[in-house]
Amino acid sequence: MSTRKKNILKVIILGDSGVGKTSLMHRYVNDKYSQQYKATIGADFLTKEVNIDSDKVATMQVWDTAGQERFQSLGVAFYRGADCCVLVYDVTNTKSFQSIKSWRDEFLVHANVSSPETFPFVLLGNKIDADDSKKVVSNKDAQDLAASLGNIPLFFTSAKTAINVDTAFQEIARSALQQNQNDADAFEDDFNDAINIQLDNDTNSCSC
Amino acid sequence: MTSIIGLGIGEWSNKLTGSDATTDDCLSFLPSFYNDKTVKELKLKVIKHALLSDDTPLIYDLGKSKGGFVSNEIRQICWHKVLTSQLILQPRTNVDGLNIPHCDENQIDLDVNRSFGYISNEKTRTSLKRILKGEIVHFFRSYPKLRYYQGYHDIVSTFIVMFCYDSKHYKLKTKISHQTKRRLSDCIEIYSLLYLRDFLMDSLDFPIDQLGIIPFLIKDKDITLYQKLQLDKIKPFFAIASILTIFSHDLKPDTMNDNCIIFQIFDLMICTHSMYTPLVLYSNMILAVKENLYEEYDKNLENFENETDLVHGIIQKVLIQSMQDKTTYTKLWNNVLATTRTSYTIAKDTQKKIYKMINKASPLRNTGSGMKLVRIVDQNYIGKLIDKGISLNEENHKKLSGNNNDYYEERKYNKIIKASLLIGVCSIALGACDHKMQLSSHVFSAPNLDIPKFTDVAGILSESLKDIKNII
Repeated sequence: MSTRKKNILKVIILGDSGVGKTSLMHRYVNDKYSQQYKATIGADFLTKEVNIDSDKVATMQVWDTAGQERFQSLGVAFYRGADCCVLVYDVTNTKSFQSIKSWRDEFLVHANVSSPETFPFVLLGNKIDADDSKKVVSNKDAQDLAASLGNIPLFFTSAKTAINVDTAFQEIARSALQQNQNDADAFEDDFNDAINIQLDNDTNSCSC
Repeated sequence: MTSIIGLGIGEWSNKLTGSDATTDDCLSFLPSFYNDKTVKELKLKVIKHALLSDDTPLIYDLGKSKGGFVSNEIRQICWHKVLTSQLILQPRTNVDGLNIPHCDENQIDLDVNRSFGYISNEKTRTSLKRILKGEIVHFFRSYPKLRYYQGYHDIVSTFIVMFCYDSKHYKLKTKISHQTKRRLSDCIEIYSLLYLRDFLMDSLDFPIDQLGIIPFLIKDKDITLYQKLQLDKIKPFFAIASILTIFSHDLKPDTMNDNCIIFQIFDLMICTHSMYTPLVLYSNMILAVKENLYEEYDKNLENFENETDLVHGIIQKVLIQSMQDKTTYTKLWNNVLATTRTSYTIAKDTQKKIYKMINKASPLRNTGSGMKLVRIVDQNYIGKLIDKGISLNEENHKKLSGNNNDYYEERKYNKIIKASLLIGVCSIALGACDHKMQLSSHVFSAPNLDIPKFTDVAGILSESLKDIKNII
């Protein structure tokens, strides 16, 4: 399996336990919501055909992961080959917001991405359907964080009431596709370089 | 054949001695014209007889045979009987600790709130959640050194559904008697202490080690499947949810079924008193669906980014598919259980190899080894195993994180070695050239005629490199 699958966009959803990762994935892929999603153990995935900018078609594979910290050690296996990483926090939970940076760092350590500076992340503040009195993370703080993480896109979502979920995932798909093409181009460049070296060698050996 | 020190072996169990090796049906001596219902009723009578006559070995054999303990009404008593025959819990002397919150109670709350989603009645669901939270919190406050993991709540939920089951009305009770609650707590405590210690550390290192046994078992049984799924190259993380939860994450109890699969799995596990049983069961399940896996593998080659994703993806898909249809699901798991009932024993030489893969305090080596069963009377023994496990886990973790830090150091070190080697090799080669030149000048007295060419040097260089590689 050395050939890259160009039509698959691999997206990883990360964030603390209970922020709504599974709900966001189900809302996006099946347009469904349930109060009764069980805790994710290890990793589950769902796929969805996506149209990007109305002319490109791809298959998005969304990988949903367990939120408890110890499950990060499985990340090495699941993060590999990701095209976009979605960082989710819960607007009613300060700790989940404070963990975002460490989730991103952990991802970069394990995912082995080609250029960490340009790898696409998308930040989602979920559960905005909650009462204002329960919201503890301000929009301003979220915007500052998104800016400090390299001006990454930020969306305020509700998996429960389907607010902004599609919009966010359109952006996720676009970023993933872009990353996927960059990687494919890099792969092609490497491939061409390899051929050039081979040709150079041939020339040398002919002249002997 | 299980033997329990200090307990007699009944007449029934003698009749059943041979059943493990040949068939999983402990009532196989009955004429075949008995239908399933009659067999079930007869087995129920035998179980009741075994309980009345306190014939524990027979209870073990009945739990390990086809259908397990058959009915939830009697299963509660059997589970308690079996588990308390494995460990005697000391009466609690210090109850103050139960008021001190455990550091994982936040996570426990989150997971309890998401439990019992398959129970449609809200009132029942709420009361089950309340019992679940009480039991988990009680356990961790009693053993504050142990850590909660996501998935433990699935195991405890399974015990709770069993103990809240009302067989007469095919529904779950919202309240349980004081005696039932005591039995439930005992079972959860003994089960966790004897079998789950590797999972109750603060990392997934030990469970991941256990997962490594699955490819090992598959390789032994079907090398073609092992190679096809490239199990030598990928880590078997696809099995993590099943193993951490003893299948209870995916296989939920069906409240309309008095003898559902997940309960039969627990019957088999506690009666084989072996943590190998879930691993063997998982391997057998993979073997049972291998044709579907082959098909899905070839169909999905292009659909995944890498091999790990592909194997994880197709196993998940095949299992989900098998669960969508009740008949397929029951048939598959009945077959897998039947195979496992006759193949749960791990050969001694296999076990020796497995020991190299697991930690020295692992339940797989002692309290959950499935070897000769000794009733543990001294709970301090368990305490020592817990402490040993915790210290090994810490050591292991330090080593692992140390490895990460050492990565750059190691690379630097490697570069220095490589550079020194290169210098060494070059001097040997040049020395050889020099030597050859001198030699030729002596013999022919005309050194200019036979000066070693660059190709000779390259040849010597590559020879020396080969030698060095061999030495390394």
